[in-house]
Amino acid sequence: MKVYHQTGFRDKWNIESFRNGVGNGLIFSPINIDADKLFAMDVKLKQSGFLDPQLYLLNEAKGTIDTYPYFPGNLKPDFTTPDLDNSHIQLAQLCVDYQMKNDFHYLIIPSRYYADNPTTYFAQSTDYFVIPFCDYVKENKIQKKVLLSVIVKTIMLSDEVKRNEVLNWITGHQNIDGVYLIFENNFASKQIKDFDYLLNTLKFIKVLKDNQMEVHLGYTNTEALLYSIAMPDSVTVGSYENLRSFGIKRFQDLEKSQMRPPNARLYSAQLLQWIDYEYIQAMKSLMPDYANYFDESEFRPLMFTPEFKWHFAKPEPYKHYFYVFDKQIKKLSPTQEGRIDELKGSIKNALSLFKKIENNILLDDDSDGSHLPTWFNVINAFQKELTK
Amino acid sequence: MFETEQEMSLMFEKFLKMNFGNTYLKECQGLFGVPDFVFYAKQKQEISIISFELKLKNWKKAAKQAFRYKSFSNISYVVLASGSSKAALSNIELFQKYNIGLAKFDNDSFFEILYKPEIGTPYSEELNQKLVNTISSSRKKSKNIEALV
Repeated sequence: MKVYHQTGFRDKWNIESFRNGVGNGLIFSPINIDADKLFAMDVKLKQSGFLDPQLYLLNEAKGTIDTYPYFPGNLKPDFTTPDLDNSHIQLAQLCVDYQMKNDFHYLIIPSRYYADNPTTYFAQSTDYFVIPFCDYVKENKIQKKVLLSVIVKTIMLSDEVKRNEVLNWITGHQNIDGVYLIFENNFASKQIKDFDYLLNTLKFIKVLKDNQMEVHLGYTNTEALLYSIAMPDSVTVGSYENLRSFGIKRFQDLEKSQMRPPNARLYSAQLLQWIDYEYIQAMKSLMPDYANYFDESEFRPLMFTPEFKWHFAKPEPYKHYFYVFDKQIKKLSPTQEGRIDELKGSIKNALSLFKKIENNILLDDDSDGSHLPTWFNVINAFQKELTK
Repeated sequence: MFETEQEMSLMFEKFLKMNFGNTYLKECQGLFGVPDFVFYAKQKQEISIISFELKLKNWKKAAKQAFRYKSFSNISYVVLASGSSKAALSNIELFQKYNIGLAKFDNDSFFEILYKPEIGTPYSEELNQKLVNTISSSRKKSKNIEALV
Protein backbone atom coordinates (compact mmCIF):
# COMPACT_ATOMS: atom_id res chain seq x y z
CA MET A 1 0.00 0.00 0.00
CA LYS A 2 1.37 3.37 -1.01
CA VAL A 3 1.40 6.59 0.97
CA TYR A 4 0.90 9.85 -0.89
CA HIS A 5 1.48 13.30 0.50
CA GLN A 6 -1.75 15.30 0.35
CA THR A 7 -0.16 18.67 -0.29
CA GLY A 8 -1.58 22.09 0.38
CA PHE A 9 -0.30 25.12 2.28
CA ARG A 10 3.39 24.61 3.18
CA ASP A 11 3.80 21.91 0.53
CA LYS A 12 7.55 22.36 0.86
CA TRP A 13 7.42 20.25 4.06
CA ASN A 14 5.92 17.40 2.04
CA ILE A 15 8.38 17.87 -0.81
CA GLU A 16 11.35 17.89 1.57
CA SER A 17 10.08 14.74 3.29
CA PHE A 18 9.44 13.03 -0.03
CA ARG A 19 12.95 13.89 -1.22
CA ASN A 20 14.18 12.22 1.98
CA GLY A 21 12.39 9.01 1.09
CA VAL A 22 9.15 9.48 3.02
CA GLY A 23 6.03 8.50 1.07
CA ASN A 24 5.55 7.24 -2.47
CA GLY A 25 4.48 10.43 -4.19
CA LEU A 26 2.76 13.78 -3.97
CA ILE A 27 -0.82 14.81 -4.70
CA PHE A 28 -0.59 18.37 -5.97
CA SER A 29 -3.07 21.06 -4.98
CA PRO A 30 -3.79 23.79 -7.58
CA ILE A 31 -5.21 26.21 -5.03
CA ASN A 32 -1.79 26.21 -3.34
CA ILE A 33 0.70 26.14 -6.20
CA ASP A 34 0.81 28.30 -9.31
CA ALA A 35 0.42 26.29 -12.55
CA ASP A 36 3.68 27.59 -14.04
CA LYS A 37 5.56 26.90 -10.82
CA LEU A 38 4.25 23.35 -10.80
CA PHE A 39 5.16 22.97 -14.46
CA ALA A 40 8.71 24.12 -13.72
CA MET A 41 9.08 21.70 -10.82
CA ASP A 42 11.49 18.77 -11.10
CA VAL A 43 9.62 16.16 -13.12
CA LYS A 44 10.88 13.40 -10.83
CA LEU A 45 8.67 14.84 -8.10
CA LYS A 46 5.66 14.64 -10.37
CA GLN A 47 6.13 11.30 -12.10
CA SER A 48 5.26 9.34 -8.98
CA GLY A 49 2.26 11.44 -7.98
CA PHE A 50 -0.78 13.09 -9.44
CA LEU A 51 -2.76 16.29 -9.64
CA ASP A 52 -6.07 16.79 -7.89
CA PRO A 53 -7.70 19.14 -10.46
CA GLN A 54 -9.91 20.70 -7.71
CA LEU A 55 -12.87 21.72 -9.83
CA TYR A 56 -15.07 20.97 -6.85
CA LEU A 57 -16.69 24.40 -6.94
CA LEU A 58 -16.21 24.86 -10.67
CA ASN A 59 -15.53 28.58 -10.83
CA GLU A 60 -14.47 29.56 -7.31
CA ALA A 61 -11.10 31.27 -7.84
CA LYS A 62 -9.51 30.23 -4.56
CA GLY A 63 -5.76 30.71 -4.28
CA THR A 64 -3.83 29.99 -7.45
CA ILE A 65 -6.36 27.72 -9.17
CA ASP A 66 -7.13 30.41 -11.74
CA THR A 67 -3.57 30.07 -13.07
CA TYR A 68 -4.49 26.63 -14.45
CA PRO A 69 -5.49 26.52 -18.12
CA TYR A 70 -8.53 24.33 -17.42
CA PHE A 71 -9.95 26.69 -14.77
CA PRO A 72 -13.45 27.45 -16.12
CA GLY A 73 -13.11 31.21 -15.51
CA ASN A 74 -10.26 31.20 -18.04
CA LEU A 75 -12.58 29.81 -20.71
CA LYS A 76 -15.33 32.30 -20.01
CA PRO A 77 -15.67 34.90 -17.28
CA ASP A 78 -18.54 34.11 -14.88
CA PHE A 79 -18.59 30.52 -16.03
CA THR A 80 -21.56 28.65 -14.58
CA THR A 81 -22.87 25.08 -14.76
CA PRO A 82 -24.94 25.63 -17.98
CA ASP A 83 -21.72 26.72 -19.71
CA LEU A 84 -20.46 23.18 -19.30
CA ASP A 85 -22.87 22.19 -22.09
CA ASN A 86 -20.67 24.00 -24.60
CA SER A 87 -17.32 23.87 -22.86
CA HIS A 88 -17.00 20.41 -21.31
CA ILE A 89 -14.96 19.00 -24.21
CA GLN A 90 -12.55 21.93 -24.21
CA LEU A 91 -12.27 21.82 -20.44
CA ALA A 92 -11.48 18.10 -20.52
CA GLN A 93 -8.84 18.59 -23.20
CA LEU A 94 -7.15 21.42 -21.32
CA CYS A 95 -7.20 19.46 -18.08
CA VAL A 96 -5.75 16.30 -19.68
CA ASP A 97 -3.14 18.33 -21.61
CA TYR A 98 -1.95 20.06 -18.46
CA GLN A 99 -1.67 16.76 -16.59
CA MET A 100 0.16 15.14 -19.54
CA LYS A 101 2.58 18.06 -19.88
CA ASN A 102 3.56 17.55 -16.25
CA ASP A 103 3.94 13.80 -16.69
CA PHE A 104 2.05 12.79 -13.56
CA HIS A 105 1.72 9.09 -12.86
CA TYR A 106 -2.08 9.09 -13.10
CA LEU A 107 -4.60 11.21 -15.00
CA ILE A 108 -7.37 12.41 -12.75
CA ILE A 109 -10.94 13.10 -13.83
CA PRO A 110 -12.28 15.96 -11.73
CA SER A 111 -15.43 15.93 -9.66
CA ARG A 112 -17.97 18.59 -8.64
CA TYR A 113 -18.99 19.26 -5.07
CA TYR A 114 -22.54 20.09 -3.97
CA ALA A 115 -23.81 20.48 -0.43
CA ASP A 116 -26.67 18.26 -1.59
CA ASN A 117 -26.09 16.44 -4.82
CA PRO A 118 -28.79 17.12 -7.42
CA THR A 119 -30.70 14.11 -8.73
CA THR A 120 -28.86 14.49 -12.03
CA TYR A 121 -25.46 14.46 -10.35
CA PHE A 122 -24.17 11.19 -11.77
CA ALA A 123 -25.58 11.77 -15.25
CA GLN A 124 -24.04 15.26 -15.28
CA SER A 125 -20.70 13.99 -14.03
CA THR A 126 -20.67 11.33 -16.72
CA ASP A 127 -21.55 13.78 -19.50
CA TYR A 128 -19.41 16.71 -18.41
CA PHE A 129 -16.35 14.95 -17.08
CA VAL A 130 -16.06 11.17 -17.52
CA ILE A 131 -16.99 10.85 -21.21
CA PRO A 132 -15.05 13.84 -22.58
CA PHE A 133 -11.98 12.86 -20.52
CA CYS A 134 -12.03 9.22 -21.56
CA ASP A 135 -12.74 10.11 -25.21
CA TYR A 136 -9.81 12.52 -25.32
CA VAL A 137 -7.51 9.99 -23.64
CA LYS A 138 -8.56 7.35 -26.18
CA GLU A 139 -8.29 9.66 -29.23
CA ASN A 140 -4.77 10.61 -28.22
CA LYS A 141 -3.78 7.05 -27.40
CA ILE A 142 -2.69 8.08 -23.94
CA GLN A 143 -1.34 5.12 -22.01
CA LYS A 144 -1.48 6.56 -18.49
CA LYS A 145 -3.89 5.10 -15.97
CA VAL A 146 -7.03 7.13 -15.36
CA LEU A 147 -8.53 7.69 -11.92
CA LEU A 148 -11.98 9.10 -11.34
CA SER A 149 -12.16 11.45 -8.37
CA VAL A 150 -15.24 10.90 -6.23
CA ILE A 151 -16.34 12.79 -3.16
CA VAL A 152 -18.14 10.30 -0.95
CA LYS A 153 -20.72 12.04 1.18
CA THR A 154 -21.84 10.54 4.47
CA ILE A 155 -25.28 9.77 3.06
CA MET A 156 -23.64 7.69 0.32
CA LEU A 157 -22.28 5.45 3.03
CA SER A 158 -25.23 5.30 5.38
CA ASP A 159 -28.05 4.97 2.82
CA GLU A 160 -27.89 1.63 1.04
CA VAL A 161 -29.75 2.87 -2.04
CA LYS A 162 -27.43 5.83 -2.45
CA ARG A 163 -24.40 3.66 -1.74
CA ASN A 164 -25.38 1.22 -4.47
CA GLU A 165 -26.11 4.10 -6.83
CA VAL A 166 -22.63 5.57 -6.46
CA LEU A 167 -20.92 2.18 -6.56
CA ASN A 168 -22.84 1.22 -9.71
CA TRP A 169 -21.91 4.54 -11.26
CA ILE A 170 -18.21 4.15 -10.49
CA THR A 171 -17.96 0.52 -11.57
CA GLY A 172 -20.02 1.18 -14.70
CA HIS A 173 -17.23 3.11 -16.43
CA GLN A 174 -15.15 0.85 -18.65
CA ASN A 175 -12.27 3.20 -19.33
CA ILE A 176 -11.18 4.12 -15.86
CA ASP A 177 -8.58 2.19 -13.89
CA GLY A 178 -9.57 3.27 -10.46
CA VAL A 179 -10.79 5.95 -8.12
CA TYR A 180 -9.37 8.76 -6.06
CA LEU A 181 -11.85 8.63 -3.20
CA ILE A 182 -12.41 11.53 -0.88
CA PHE A 183 -14.63 10.88 2.10
CA GLU A 184 -16.32 14.07 3.23
CA ASN A 185 -15.74 14.53 6.94
CA ASN A 186 -18.40 16.42 8.89
CA PHE A 187 -17.44 15.07 12.28
CA ALA A 188 -16.84 17.49 15.13
CA SER A 189 -14.25 15.26 16.78
CA LYS A 190 -10.69 14.98 15.54
CA GLN A 191 -10.94 11.20 15.24
CA ILE A 192 -13.86 9.41 13.60
CA LYS A 193 -15.73 7.47 16.26
CA ASP A 194 -18.84 6.50 14.30
CA PHE A 195 -19.09 2.71 14.04
CA ASP A 196 -21.52 2.64 11.08
CA TYR A 197 -19.59 5.26 9.13
CA LEU A 198 -16.29 3.41 9.51
CA LEU A 199 -17.74 -0.01 8.75
CA ASN A 200 -19.59 1.30 5.69
CA THR A 201 -16.40 2.95 4.48
CA LEU A 202 -14.57 -0.37 4.68
CA LYS A 203 -17.40 -2.11 2.82
CA PHE A 204 -17.38 0.64 0.19
CA ILE A 205 -13.66 0.21 -0.46
CA LYS A 206 -14.04 -3.57 -0.53
CA VAL A 207 -16.72 -3.44 -3.24
CA LEU A 208 -14.43 -1.36 -5.45
CA LYS A 209 -11.49 -3.66 -4.85
CA ASP A 210 -13.70 -6.67 -5.60
CA ASN A 211 -14.37 -4.97 -8.93
CA GLN A 212 -10.63 -4.89 -9.67
CA MET A 213 -10.34 -1.13 -9.34
CA GLU A 214 -7.41 0.77 -7.96
CA VAL A 215 -8.56 2.59 -4.85
CA HIS A 216 -6.65 5.65 -3.69
CA LEU A 217 -7.91 7.33 -0.53
CA GLY A 218 -7.39 11.07 -0.19
CA TYR A 219 -7.49 13.26 2.90
CA THR A 220 -6.95 10.46 5.38
CA ASN A 221 -5.90 10.85 8.98
CA THR A 222 -5.05 8.09 11.46
CA GLU A 223 -8.08 6.08 10.28
CA ALA A 224 -6.02 5.25 7.17
CA LEU A 225 -4.65 2.42 9.31
CA LEU A 226 -8.15 1.10 9.82
CA TYR A 227 -8.99 1.53 6.13
CA SER A 228 -5.89 -0.48 5.27
CA ILE A 229 -7.73 -3.70 6.16
CA ALA A 230 -10.00 -3.18 3.13
CA MET A 231 -6.81 -3.33 1.02
CA PRO A 232 -6.87 0.06 -0.76
CA ASP A 233 -3.93 0.90 -3.03
CA SER A 234 -2.93 4.07 -1.23
CA VAL A 235 -3.69 6.40 1.65
CA THR A 236 -2.42 9.91 2.37
CA VAL A 237 -0.52 11.90 4.94
CA GLY A 238 -1.10 15.62 5.30
CA SER A 239 0.24 18.37 7.47
CA TYR A 240 -2.57 20.64 8.66
CA GLU A 241 -5.88 19.17 9.76
CA ASN A 242 -7.69 20.33 6.61
CA LEU A 243 -5.41 18.03 4.62
CA ARG A 244 -6.30 15.06 6.78
CA SER A 245 -10.05 15.61 6.70
CA PHE A 246 -11.97 16.81 3.66
CA GLY A 247 -14.21 19.82 4.01
CA ILE A 248 -15.32 22.11 1.19
CA LYS A 249 -14.37 25.21 3.20
CA ARG A 250 -10.80 24.69 2.06
CA PHE A 251 -11.88 25.51 -1.48
CA GLN A 252 -14.06 28.47 -0.70
CA ASP A 253 -12.78 31.98 -0.79
CA LEU A 254 -13.44 32.90 2.84
CA GLU A 255 -10.82 35.61 3.21
CA LYS A 256 -12.60 37.47 5.95
CA SER A 257 -13.42 34.49 8.08
CA GLN A 258 -11.45 34.26 11.31
CA MET A 259 -10.04 30.87 12.21
CA ARG A 260 -8.79 29.98 15.66
CA PRO A 261 -5.35 28.41 15.29
CA PRO A 262 -5.26 24.82 16.53
CA ASN A 263 -2.93 23.69 19.30
CA ALA A 264 0.20 21.87 18.23
CA ARG A 265 -0.14 18.09 18.41
CA LEU A 266 2.26 15.21 18.10
CA TYR A 267 1.37 11.89 16.51
CA SER A 268 2.21 8.72 18.41
CA ALA A 269 2.24 5.49 16.39
CA GLN A 270 1.99 3.50 19.62
CA LEU A 271 -1.06 5.41 20.81
CA LEU A 272 -2.67 5.64 17.33
CA GLN A 273 -3.49 9.23 18.23
CA TRP A 274 -2.33 12.82 18.01
CA ILE A 275 -1.64 14.20 21.48
CA ASP A 276 -2.04 17.87 22.27
CA TYR A 277 1.35 19.31 23.10
CA GLU A 278 0.08 20.72 26.41
CA TYR A 279 -0.71 17.18 27.56
CA ILE A 280 2.84 16.20 26.65
CA GLN A 281 3.99 18.97 29.00
CA ALA A 282 1.79 17.48 31.73
CA MET A 283 3.16 14.00 30.96
CA LYS A 284 6.67 15.41 31.25
CA SER A 285 5.86 16.70 34.75
CA LEU A 286 4.07 13.59 35.96
CA MET A 287 5.52 10.64 34.06
CA PRO A 288 9.29 10.12 34.05
CA ASP A 289 9.04 7.75 31.05
CA TYR A 290 6.81 10.10 29.02
CA ALA A 291 9.18 10.19 26.04
CA ASN A 292 8.77 6.44 25.50
CA TYR A 293 5.22 7.00 24.29
CA PHE A 294 6.52 8.86 21.25
CA ASP A 295 8.38 7.49 18.27
CA GLU A 296 11.94 8.02 17.18
CA SER A 297 12.65 10.29 14.24
CA GLU A 298 15.28 12.81 13.28
CA PHE A 299 12.90 15.55 14.50
CA ARG A 300 12.20 14.12 17.95
CA PRO A 301 15.41 15.24 19.71
CA LEU A 302 14.76 18.87 18.76
CA MET A 303 11.08 18.75 19.68
CA PHE A 304 11.88 17.37 23.11
CA THR A 305 14.42 20.04 23.99
CA PRO A 306 13.16 22.64 26.51
CA GLU A 307 13.98 25.44 24.04
CA PHE A 308 11.64 24.12 21.33
CA LYS A 309 8.73 26.51 20.90
CA TRP A 310 5.71 24.40 20.04
CA HIS A 311 3.39 25.95 17.54
CA PHE A 312 0.96 24.44 15.06
CA ALA A 313 2.79 26.13 12.17
CA LYS A 314 6.17 24.58 12.94
CA PRO A 315 7.34 21.89 10.49
CA GLU A 316 8.90 19.36 12.87
CA PRO A 317 5.72 17.75 14.30
CA TYR A 318 4.34 17.26 10.76
CA LYS A 319 7.57 15.96 9.28
CA HIS A 320 7.79 13.62 12.26
CA TYR A 321 4.26 12.41 11.49
CA PHE A 322 5.00 11.89 7.79
CA TYR A 323 8.02 9.79 8.68
CA VAL A 324 6.42 7.79 11.50
CA PHE A 325 3.10 7.17 9.74
CA ASP A 326 4.72 6.21 6.44
CA LYS A 327 6.86 3.70 8.34
CA GLN A 328 3.81 2.42 10.20
CA ILE A 329 1.89 1.86 6.94
CA LYS A 330 4.86 0.26 5.22
CA LYS A 331 5.25 -2.19 8.08
CA LEU A 332 1.72 -3.53 7.61
CA SER A 333 1.33 -7.11 6.50
CA PRO A 334 0.73 -7.58 2.77
CA THR A 335 -2.23 -9.86 3.54
CA GLN A 336 -5.64 -8.78 4.75
CA GLU A 337 -5.67 -11.38 7.50
CA GLY A 338 -2.25 -10.27 8.66
CA ARG A 339 -3.27 -6.61 8.74
CA ILE A 340 -6.38 -7.37 10.75
CA ASP A 341 -4.40 -9.27 13.36
CA GLU A 342 -1.69 -6.61 13.51
CA LEU A 343 -4.14 -3.77 13.86
CA LYS A 344 -6.09 -5.52 16.59
CA GLY A 345 -2.82 -6.03 18.44
CA SER A 346 -1.85 -2.38 17.98
CA ILE A 347 -5.22 -1.21 19.28
CA LYS A 348 -4.97 -3.41 22.37
CA ASN A 349 -1.47 -2.11 22.99
CA ALA A 350 -2.56 1.51 22.53
CA LEU A 351 -5.45 1.05 24.95
CA SER A 352 -3.15 -0.33 27.61
CA LEU A 353 -0.76 2.59 27.10
CA PHE A 354 -3.64 5.05 27.43
CA LYS A 355 -4.60 3.35 30.67
CA LYS A 356 -1.12 4.06 32.02
CA ILE A 357 -1.23 7.68 30.87
CA GLU A 358 -4.67 8.16 32.39
CA ASN A 359 -3.37 7.12 35.78
CA ASN A 360 -1.81 10.57 35.79
CA ILE A 361 -3.35 12.67 33.05
CA LEU A 362 -7.02 13.37 32.41
CA LEU A 363 -7.06 13.58 28.61
CA ASP A 364 -9.83 15.21 26.64
CA ASP A 365 -11.83 13.41 23.95
CA ASP A 366 -9.54 14.63 21.16
CA SER A 367 -6.31 13.32 22.70
CA ASP A 368 -7.51 10.15 24.40
CA GLY A 369 -8.08 6.64 23.06
CA SER A 370 -11.88 6.86 22.87
CA HIS A 371 -11.85 6.11 19.12
CA LEU A 372 -10.04 2.81 19.61
CA PRO A 373 -12.82 0.58 21.03
CA THR A 374 -14.93 1.67 18.02
CA TRP A 375 -12.09 0.74 15.67
CA PHE A 376 -11.80 -2.64 17.33
CA ASN A 377 -15.51 -3.32 16.97
CA VAL A 378 -15.46 -2.16 13.35
CA ILE A 379 -12.64 -4.59 12.59
CA ASN A 380 -14.60 -7.46 14.14
CA ALA A 381 -17.71 -6.54 12.17
CA PHE A 382 -15.73 -6.25 8.94
CA GLN A 383 -14.13 -9.62 9.60
CA LYS A 384 -17.62 -11.11 9.79
CA GLU A 385 -18.47 -9.45 6.46
CA LEU A 386 -15.43 -11.08 4.89
CA THR A 387 -16.61 -14.55 5.82
CA LYS A 388 -20.13 -14.00 4.41
CA MET B 1 -31.44 26.86 40.25
CA PHE B 2 -29.60 28.74 37.54
CA GLU B 3 -31.36 28.90 34.18
CA THR B 4 -28.18 29.35 32.16
CA GLU B 5 -24.42 29.16 32.60
CA GLN B 6 -24.29 32.85 31.82
CA GLU B 7 -26.51 33.57 34.81
CA MET B 8 -24.31 31.35 36.97
CA SER B 9 -21.21 33.11 35.67
CA LEU B 10 -22.57 36.59 36.44
CA MET B 11 -23.47 35.61 39.97
CA PHE B 12 -20.14 33.86 40.52
CA GLU B 13 -18.32 36.96 39.33
CA LYS B 14 -20.13 39.06 41.92
CA PHE B 15 -19.32 36.45 44.54
CA LEU B 16 -15.62 36.43 43.60
CA LYS B 17 -15.42 40.21 43.69
CA MET B 18 -17.13 40.48 47.05
CA ASN B 19 -15.26 37.70 48.81
CA PHE B 20 -11.87 37.48 47.14
CA GLY B 21 -11.37 40.81 45.39
CA ASN B 22 -11.38 41.77 41.73
CA THR B 23 -8.07 40.09 40.89
CA TYR B 24 -9.42 37.88 38.16
CA LEU B 25 -9.63 37.52 34.39
CA LYS B 26 -12.83 36.38 32.77
CA GLU B 27 -12.84 33.85 29.91
CA CYS B 28 -9.16 34.28 29.29
CA GLN B 29 -8.16 33.23 25.73
CA GLY B 30 -4.91 31.90 24.32
CA LEU B 31 -4.23 29.34 27.05
CA PHE B 32 -5.08 25.62 27.09
CA GLY B 33 -8.86 25.84 27.03
CA VAL B 34 -10.84 28.90 28.12
CA PRO B 35 -11.39 29.00 31.88
CA ASP B 36 -14.46 30.89 33.05
CA PHE B 37 -12.38 32.71 35.63
CA VAL B 38 -8.68 32.94 36.38
CA PHE B 39 -8.17 34.33 39.86
CA TYR B 40 -4.75 35.52 40.96
CA ALA B 41 -3.14 36.48 44.23
CA LYS B 42 0.18 38.25 44.58
CA GLN B 43 2.24 37.55 47.64
CA LYS B 44 5.61 39.30 47.60
CA GLN B 45 7.20 38.13 44.31
CA GLU B 46 4.96 35.09 43.92
CA ILE B 47 1.74 34.93 41.97
CA SER B 48 -0.71 32.13 42.66
CA ILE B 49 -3.19 31.31 39.95
CA ILE B 50 -6.52 29.60 40.54
CA SER B 51 -8.76 28.68 37.61
CA PHE B 52 -12.46 28.00 37.74
CA GLU B 53 -14.62 26.05 35.33
CA LEU B 54 -18.32 26.64 35.90
CA LYS B 55 -20.92 24.14 34.76
CA LEU B 56 -24.61 23.61 35.30
CA LYS B 57 -24.11 19.89 34.68
CA ASN B 58 -21.69 17.42 33.04
CA TRP B 59 -19.08 17.20 35.79
CA LYS B 60 -16.85 14.91 33.75
CA LYS B 61 -16.48 17.37 30.90
CA ALA B 62 -15.81 20.09 33.46
CA ALA B 63 -13.13 17.94 35.13
CA LYS B 64 -11.38 17.43 31.78
CA GLN B 65 -11.44 21.18 31.18
CA ALA B 66 -10.20 21.91 34.69
CA PHE B 67 -7.33 19.47 34.23
CA ARG B 68 -6.22 21.45 31.19
CA TYR B 69 -6.07 24.61 33.28
CA LYS B 70 -3.47 22.96 35.50
CA SER B 71 -1.10 23.69 32.62
CA PHE B 72 -0.97 27.32 33.73
CA SER B 73 -2.61 27.35 37.18
CA ASN B 74 -1.50 26.31 40.64
CA ILE B 75 -5.01 25.17 41.44
CA SER B 76 -7.98 24.40 39.25
CA TYR B 77 -11.59 24.09 40.40
CA VAL B 78 -14.74 22.68 38.90
CA VAL B 79 -17.67 24.70 40.20
CA LEU B 80 -21.01 22.99 39.70
CA ALA B 81 -24.49 24.28 40.22
CA SER B 82 -25.63 22.83 43.54
CA GLY B 83 -28.28 20.62 41.98
CA SER B 84 -25.81 18.70 39.87
CA SER B 85 -22.95 18.42 42.35
CA LYS B 86 -24.20 15.11 43.81
CA ALA B 87 -23.11 13.08 40.80
CA ALA B 88 -19.66 14.65 40.93
CA LEU B 89 -19.42 14.06 44.66
CA SER B 90 -20.10 10.37 44.18
CA ASN B 91 -17.08 10.38 41.83
CA ILE B 92 -14.89 12.40 44.16
CA GLU B 93 -12.02 9.91 43.72
CA LEU B 94 -11.55 11.21 40.16
CA PHE B 95 -11.02 14.73 41.51
CA GLN B 96 -8.64 13.37 44.13
CA LYS B 97 -6.74 11.28 41.61
CA TYR B 98 -6.14 14.22 39.28
CA ASN B 99 -5.87 16.82 42.05
CA ILE B 100 -8.72 18.94 40.72
CA GLY B 101 -10.81 21.04 43.08
CA LEU B 102 -14.56 20.57 43.35
CA ALA B 103 -17.04 23.13 44.64
CA LYS B 104 -20.73 23.84 44.44
CA PHE B 105 -22.41 27.18 44.01
CA ASP B 106 -26.06 28.17 44.11
CA ASN B 107 -28.12 31.21 43.25
CA ASP B 108 -28.05 32.40 46.85
CA SER B 109 -24.30 32.80 46.33
CA PHE B 110 -23.66 29.90 48.64
CA PHE B 111 -20.24 28.49 47.76
CA GLU B 112 -18.95 25.30 49.30
CA ILE B 113 -15.69 23.55 48.60
CA LEU B 114 -16.25 19.80 48.38
CA TYR B 115 -12.67 18.91 47.61
CA LYS B 116 -9.74 21.24 48.08
CA PRO B 117 -6.76 20.16 45.95
CA GLU B 118 -3.11 20.55 46.80
CA ILE B 119 -1.32 23.53 45.34
CA GLY B 120 0.86 22.47 42.41
CA THR B 121 3.34 23.73 39.87
CA PRO B 122 1.75 24.50 36.49
CA TYR B 123 2.74 21.96 33.82
CA SER B 124 3.60 24.58 31.24
CA GLU B 125 6.11 27.20 32.25
CA GLU B 126 5.40 29.06 29.01
CA LEU B 127 1.63 29.33 29.55
CA ASN B 128 2.08 30.19 33.20
CA GLN B 129 4.57 32.91 32.27
CA LYS B 130 2.16 34.25 29.65
CA LEU B 131 -0.46 34.71 32.37
CA VAL B 132 2.04 36.09 34.87
CA ASN B 133 3.11 38.70 32.30
CA THR B 134 -0.51 39.77 31.87
CA ILE B 135 -1.10 39.95 35.60
CA SER B 136 2.18 41.30 36.93
CA SER B 137 1.48 44.98 36.25
CA SER B 138 -1.91 44.83 37.99
CA ARG B 139 -2.18 46.74 41.27
CA LYS B 140 -5.38 45.05 42.32
CA LYS B 141 -5.39 43.27 45.65
CA SER B 142 -6.86 39.89 46.46
CA LYS B 143 -8.24 38.80 49.81
CA ASN B 144 -9.14 35.58 51.63
CA ILE B 145 -7.13 33.43 49.22
CA GLU B 146 -6.47 30.96 52.06
CA ALA B 147 -10.10 29.86 51.74
CA LEU B 148 -9.36 28.52 48.25
CA VAL B 149 -5.85 27.17 48.73
